[in-house]
Amino acid sequence: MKGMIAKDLRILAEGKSLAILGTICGIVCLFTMKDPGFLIGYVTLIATSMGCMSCAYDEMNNGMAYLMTMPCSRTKYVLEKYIFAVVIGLIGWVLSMAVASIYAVNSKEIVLTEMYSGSLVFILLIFIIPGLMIPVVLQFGHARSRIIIYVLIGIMFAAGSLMALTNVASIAVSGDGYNINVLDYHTTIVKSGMILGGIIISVVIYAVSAIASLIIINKKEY
Amino acid sequence: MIEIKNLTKHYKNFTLDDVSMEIPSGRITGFIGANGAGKSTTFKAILGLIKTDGGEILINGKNIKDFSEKDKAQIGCVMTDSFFSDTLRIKDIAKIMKAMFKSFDEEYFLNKCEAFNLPKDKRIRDFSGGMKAKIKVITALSYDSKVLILDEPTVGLDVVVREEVLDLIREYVGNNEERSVIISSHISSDIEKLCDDIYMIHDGKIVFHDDTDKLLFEYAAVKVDETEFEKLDKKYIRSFRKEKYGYECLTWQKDYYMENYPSVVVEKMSIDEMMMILIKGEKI
Repeated sequence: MKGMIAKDLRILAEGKSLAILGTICGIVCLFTMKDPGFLIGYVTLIATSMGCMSCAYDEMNNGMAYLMTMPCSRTKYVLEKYIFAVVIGLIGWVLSMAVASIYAVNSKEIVLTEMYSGSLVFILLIFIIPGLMIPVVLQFGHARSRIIIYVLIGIMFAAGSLMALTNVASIAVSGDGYNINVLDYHTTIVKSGMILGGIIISVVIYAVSAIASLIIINKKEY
Repeated sequence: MIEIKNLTKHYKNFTLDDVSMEIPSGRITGFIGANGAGKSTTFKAILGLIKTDGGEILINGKNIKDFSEKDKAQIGCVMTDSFFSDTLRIKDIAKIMKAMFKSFDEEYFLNKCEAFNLPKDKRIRDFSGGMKAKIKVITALSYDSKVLILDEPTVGLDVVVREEVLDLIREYVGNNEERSVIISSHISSDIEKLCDDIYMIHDGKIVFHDDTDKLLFEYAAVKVDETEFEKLDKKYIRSFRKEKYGYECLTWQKDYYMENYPSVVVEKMSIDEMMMILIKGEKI
C-alpha cells in the first residue's frame, strides 16, 4: 500500500496548479462574498475531487493492468483509494477552516460557533464524492465514467432543486451577502440533527460504495 | 520456475485451450505466435490479471491463487500496452518503485536510465515509443524478482538498442541462476539469440516446444516433388505444406534425410518460416 500512496501523492502533485488556482478563487470569493462557508465548501470540494483523481489516472492508457501486477492486493488498492480521498478532503476542509477562522476573527461579524457548526455540513462532500466516483471509475473506466459522473451530478442537482421547490431545503440570499443555507432549519437542535443525520448517511454511502468497489475490482479482469 | 498446467480460458471468440508449459529456473524461454494466438492471455493468467476456467499456474511451487504481496514482489513484468500513468516522470517512478519494492535498486535504475538517454524530468507521455519500451524494461529489471514476464519488450527499438536491452536481460538472468524468464516477441532474431527454448502457440494451443539449439541445428525444411513426397519416410516429418514445386516438409532430424535422401533439398529454416509451416501446414 505504501507504493500506491507514493504513486497517488505524485499524481496529486500533478494537480497543484488546479489546487493553487482553486484556493486563490476561494479566498477572492471569501473577501467579495464575505461568506466563509463558500470558501470551506469550495476548497473541500476541490480537495476531495483531487483525492479521487488518481483513480482516473490509474485507469488511463490501460494502466490498471500494470498496477495490478504490483505487490498490493486488489482489496488494499481499493481501500487506499477511499482512505486517500477522505484524508485529502479532510486536509482541504481543515485548511479552509483555518483560513475562514482567521477571516471570521478579523471581521467580527461572523459568529465562530455558527460557522464551525455550519461547516460540518461540508464533511458530507468528503464521503459522498469518493463514494460516487470510485466505483464508477473502477467499473466503467476513465472515459465512460466521466459521462456517468456528469449524469449523477445532474440527478443530484435535480433532486436538490426539487427539495428547494418543495421547501425541504433552500438557498437563501440575504441583503448583506450570500448566505448559503443548505437546509431550511429553524432551531439549533433541528439543524444539528440534520447535519449529523447527513453525515451519517454520507458515511453509509461511503461504506456501501467501498463494498461495491471491492466486489467490482475482485471480479474485474485486466 | 513457472509451471503452467492445463490452463484454459474461454472468451466469446477465443479459447486458450489446455495450455501446459514449464519455464525452469536459470533459463530464458521464448514464446512466439501470431497476433491473437494467446500469448498475452497466457501472460495475463500468469500475472493473475484474469480468472482462468481451468488448470493451474505455479510459481516456484506455489499456486498464484494463493499469492501474497510478498510473493507478487518476486514477479517482474513488461506489458506492451500498460505501464504507470504517463503523466509521471522517471524521478517519480524511482520513488514509487522504491516504496513499492524493498529490493528496488534506485541507483541501478537511474544509472540505466541515464545510460539509455532517458531524461529524468520529462513526462512519460512525451517519450517516443522506443523510450517507453526502454523505461518499461529498466523498471522491470531494477528489483530482485525471481520470475520475469516480458511481453514484447523490444517493440519499437532500433537494432542497436535492442541488442543492449537483450544484454540487460541476459545479465539479469546471469546474475541469479534462480531466475526464470519468459519473453514474447515478433522479432524472431531476438528469440533466437536470447532464448534457451521456445514455445509456439496457435489458436490458443501450444503447437511446438523445443530447445533453441535443436531448432537451429536439427530442424530443417525438406523440399521434395510429388513423387519424392510419396516415397519419403515421414516418421521425422512434423508437418508439411504444398508448394509450387511439390512439398515443403518440416523435420526435426535433418541428418536422417540428408543421409538417406541425398537427392532431396534439405535447407535450414528461420523461426518465422517454421512458424508458417506449423500454422499453415498439415500435420502428419
